[in-house]
Amino acid sequence: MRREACYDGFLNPPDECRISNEGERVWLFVRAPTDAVGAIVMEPYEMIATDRTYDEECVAYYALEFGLSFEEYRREIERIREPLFVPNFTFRSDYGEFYDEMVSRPVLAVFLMGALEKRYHEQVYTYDDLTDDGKAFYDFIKTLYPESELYLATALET
Amino acid sequence: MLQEMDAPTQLIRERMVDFPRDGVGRDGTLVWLLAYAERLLLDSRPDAYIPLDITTQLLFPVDRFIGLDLTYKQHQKRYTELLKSVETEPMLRTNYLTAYELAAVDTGRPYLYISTTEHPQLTRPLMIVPHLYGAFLIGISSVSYADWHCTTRDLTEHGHAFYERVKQILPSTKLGLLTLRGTEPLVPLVLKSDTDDA
Repeated sequence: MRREACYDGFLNPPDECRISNEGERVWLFVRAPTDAVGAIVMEPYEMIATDRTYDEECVAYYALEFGLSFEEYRREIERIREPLFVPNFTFRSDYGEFYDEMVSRPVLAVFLMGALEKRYHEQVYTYDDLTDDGKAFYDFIKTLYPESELYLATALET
Repeated sequence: MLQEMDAPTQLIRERMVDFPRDGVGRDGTLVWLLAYAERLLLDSRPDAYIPLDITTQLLFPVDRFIGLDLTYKQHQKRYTELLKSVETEPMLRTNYLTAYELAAVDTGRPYLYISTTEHPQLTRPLMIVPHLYGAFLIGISSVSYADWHCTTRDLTEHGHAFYERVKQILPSTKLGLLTLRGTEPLVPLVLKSDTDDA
């Protein structure tokens, strides 16, 4: 049973059968049409993938299982995510080390669409997995930032 | 580049911020709508269920900061106190902050403070806006203004409607309006090709 259901926000998981006890978080990223404006933010912690990159990332993962080296897999994931996320050479700690997470290219908006205490989705959230209110909000944001690309990033709470 | 794009009309379809009529410079101005997770700001219910990692943060160099509506009054009061205390010009240098920046830091918590995170290409300290459910760029202008920061009074009808909508999506949301100097990205994005490792 979910507690504090109000954190569901705009999420409408495929069914009520939980897959694991890892929580889910879904973020909306609005990628600016130009690198000349926006905010650089960290990739969500423990991000699985985005709705726009998931299929390609799965192919890379299967290739890893069939002999692709981890270094080649890592480079492939970087290539796939490159339109939105790039390796972090932007933010470093006061010890001089860059944080491990990738960082976004400039975004005009980022927003938590919802967080669930358990994992309900086997893959990643897409537009179809939003509530009607969530779809309306997504559509509004898409209209508000007309030249931008929208991404839904799914992360686990481990 | 931004000027070439006619940025306000192409980046944001609806006008959400009524900027002042008269500008005083060409630095440009940004307005961000911030959605804070207020429970994390206050930390008053440690037993409440709060999903981990449900927030993000914004980082920008301290010299970009103009004002946050949630702290602006205290910020200005503190700034006046600092100026009186040293009886000198506004660009008083403390260790590494101007009086205006120091006043912002003194009065910023829990909404913003100086971060320990560094940027390889910037020499000024970074300010961090923590505990955000999200942030939306709602205003962009190619000019800068004297003594102006965005408050809810400066929002258009569209801006007010959006403000109210964002407030209702997630629990304990507290909204803020952040006004920054310049229209460039909050920090420069550094790519691997820009580094010695490339």
